[in-house]
Amino acid sequence: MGSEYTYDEEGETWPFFLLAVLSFILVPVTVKYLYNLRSTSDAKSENASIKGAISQEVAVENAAQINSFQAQKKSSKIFNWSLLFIVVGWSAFVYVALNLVKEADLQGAFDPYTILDVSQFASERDIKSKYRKLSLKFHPDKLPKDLTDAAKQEMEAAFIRINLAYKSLTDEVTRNNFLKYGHPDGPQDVSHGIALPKFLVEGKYSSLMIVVYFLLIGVLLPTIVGTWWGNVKSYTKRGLHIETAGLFTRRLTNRDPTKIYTVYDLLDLICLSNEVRTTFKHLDYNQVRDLIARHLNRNFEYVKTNPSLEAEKVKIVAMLPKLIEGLIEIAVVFRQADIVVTACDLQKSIIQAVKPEGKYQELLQLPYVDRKAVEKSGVKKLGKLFAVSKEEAGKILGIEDKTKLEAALSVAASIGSLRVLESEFKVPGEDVVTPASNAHISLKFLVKSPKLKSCPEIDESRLKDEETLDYMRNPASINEKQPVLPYSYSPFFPSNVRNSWTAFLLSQKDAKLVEGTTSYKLENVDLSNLALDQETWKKGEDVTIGTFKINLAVPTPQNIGIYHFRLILKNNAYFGCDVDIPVELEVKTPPSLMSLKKKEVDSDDDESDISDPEEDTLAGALAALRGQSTQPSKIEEQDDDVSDNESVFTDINTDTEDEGEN
Amino acid sequence: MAEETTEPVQEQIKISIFTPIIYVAVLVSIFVTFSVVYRRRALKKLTKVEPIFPENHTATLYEYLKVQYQNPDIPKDQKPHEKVMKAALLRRAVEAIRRSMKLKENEPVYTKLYQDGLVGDEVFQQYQIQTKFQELELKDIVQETESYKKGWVQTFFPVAQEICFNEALRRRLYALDDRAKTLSHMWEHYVAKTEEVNEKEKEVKEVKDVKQTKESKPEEEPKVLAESKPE
Repeated sequence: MGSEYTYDEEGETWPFFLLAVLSFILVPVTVKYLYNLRSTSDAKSENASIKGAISQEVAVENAAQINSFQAQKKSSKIFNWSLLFIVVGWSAFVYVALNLVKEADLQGAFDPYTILDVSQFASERDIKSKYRKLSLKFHPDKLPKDLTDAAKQEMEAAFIRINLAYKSLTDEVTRNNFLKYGHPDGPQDVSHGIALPKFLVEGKYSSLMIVVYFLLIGVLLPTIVGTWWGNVKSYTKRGLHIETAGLFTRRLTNRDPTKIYTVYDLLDLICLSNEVRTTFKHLDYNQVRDLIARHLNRNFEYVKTNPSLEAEKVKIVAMLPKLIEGLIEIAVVFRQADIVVTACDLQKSIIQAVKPEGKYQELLQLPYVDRKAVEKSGVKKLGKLFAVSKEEAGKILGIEDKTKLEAALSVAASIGSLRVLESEFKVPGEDVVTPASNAHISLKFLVKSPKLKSCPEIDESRLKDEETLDYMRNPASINEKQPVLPYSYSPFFPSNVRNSWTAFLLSQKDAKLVEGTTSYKLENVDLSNLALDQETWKKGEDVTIGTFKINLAVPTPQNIGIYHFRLILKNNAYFGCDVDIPVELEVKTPPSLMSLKKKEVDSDDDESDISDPEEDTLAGALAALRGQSTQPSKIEEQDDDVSDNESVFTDINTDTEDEGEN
Repeated sequence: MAEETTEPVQEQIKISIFTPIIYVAVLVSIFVTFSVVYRRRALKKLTKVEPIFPENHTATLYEYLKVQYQNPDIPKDQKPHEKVMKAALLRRAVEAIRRSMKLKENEPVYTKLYQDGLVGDEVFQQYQIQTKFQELELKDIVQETESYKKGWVQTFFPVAQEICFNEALRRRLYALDDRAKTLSHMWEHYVAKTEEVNEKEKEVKEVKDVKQTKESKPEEEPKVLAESKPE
């Protein structure tokens, strides 16, 4: 059979083909691997560069297990299958490049400029003079007599090439040929071949080759695509297993509206998730629950009696926050605010290893505390620790060792709460909130350390936002201009967690999340206030005012009127710094339209009713501030109870309103 | 070059008429088997997905009674009375209405969950199937009511709805005690109370009581609460 194709018998081209394929696969894999490696930022070193971060080193009983968990996580990020793949791949690449690639024969290529050794932009005169010089050197008549034949021939060939190059740059016809075909002599022979040796295609190995091709295209490709697609489909966009997401969805659909879902109910639900069940197949449900309960109670009995179970505990605990976040995300779509809030509390409990019942979490989240002592003392707020003497604080926390007490107090002082100065709906560039406009909630706050007392007077002008172009376009862009929050202090939790607040907007009408809103993350807060002393704080000139803008996806209502909302900010790691305030939205027509109306209707009563809304909203915010105050702990407590009761009642109210839904 | 090579190829290879037919047949049969197997597996997977609602006991109860009611072998005095049948049907309708309302209320939720990619395809499919199933269930109930008395549907469904709402209200009313219990447990309210008691009684029982409340397991805690209440 006459061959129609030329084959790559000498191995001139197929190594190039191989190199191209290899680099096609290797480069993206390597880049991804390096990127992953880079993103494992060290929490400790990063916290060092952030003001207000807690860098307290605390000895934890199960430190060995936590460290080994972290080391494992770290090493699994470095030593994994992709590293092996990269190493093998690149060594193959290097091997092919060094040993198999023959020097490419570039004789066919023709570049008159390199031959004449002139620049691409040389003038004709330069070219001419260069040509003269070279031809003097290489002209057959001018060659030295003592040359060998071979050398002579080479020189002659060079002379021909020089001539050709010169012509192709000066002569019209050759120049055209050069431009069109890349060679001054006109079109060159071009051969198309297969970059494989002949024996693979036409020899006895041809059947083998077909099998290889079949495996590649018929088996390998579909399996890779299939498994990839299967993986994509078995996890939701947020990385939750779809069975878990289905479980959460079913539970939230079927939830009994009369029942209060406690932190433990949600924990039960999360322990039923596919992730926990498949990862901890060897443990049954009760064992998993027991391990989590031990974590919440800071019970480290297993460190001595059963270290491997302690390691399992660390692993389970590390897994939970992601699942809780998944649950929150789904509950937000269901608009079930109580579930969302409870889930946030569960997350905090897990991260701080604090039991969720009772009212003492704020103190129990500190290191070295003795739970019995705290519960006996009756003190519930962090601020109280700094109102009493150090000895007394030690008694409250049940810590006798001085350095330990110092550590606990320094952690307590760094847990900043938010003091809301202003919270209202705003429309950029407008004085009032107009109907069907894109409003945002503007939250102005001070970060306050529990050790500071009272609140400074802040001049109203300091609360105004600078109306830059960025701000007008996207008010939330201000959020990112503040420094990012550090990693949370969470010695009992095996992974590092970035601190953040999550905001939810509730409608007061039905105590559900507002339709069309999601959860909003506050990740950028300037914590420099934590370092202030009492005097500077009280003076209020050097305090930093934090801003949080929440862009609402839904436009404001069409109808003029007052709408009541409740804004909840939950911290993801610390107890005692959540915010729960009423926010009022007053929709009214812009002033210019109002003055027109005035003339038409000629009724002043209407106007005066509408025209002082700021006081109202500010008053609302200030009322909330009183509730937020940390100094007199008794008042706080009462307020807490009131708000809790209120939520209970509203829950019942709504339930009866739409009784049919259950 | 091309002309030279094509001629000998034509001479050498003789292709039977069956070759392309076999080729196409093999190809088509592979596709058909694939699609059949794939669909069957998809259906199987779908049946494995847990339904949104738990088992409908009222419906099964009604079916069970109906079999007895229509069985000619059972003597008349052992058959369920017609009133029993009607009551059972009413219960079934109440549950059906509750489920339909729940589905309707959650429609935007499921759409959003699906659009945002927060749930898998199965959940959304399950939702659609459930919606259809509830429609059929309601239709079935309408037929059943007609079998007892023509024109009963007119009054039947308003009554069922009334019952549904009334029960929802009752559930909420009766749940108050439970809610109080859960909340007092979560807030550890009973601990505070017992501690007060202890302070009153001072040293006598103090040590014992604190021990008891602190170590008591969740099942026992309501008891502690009940004990502390009268004081």
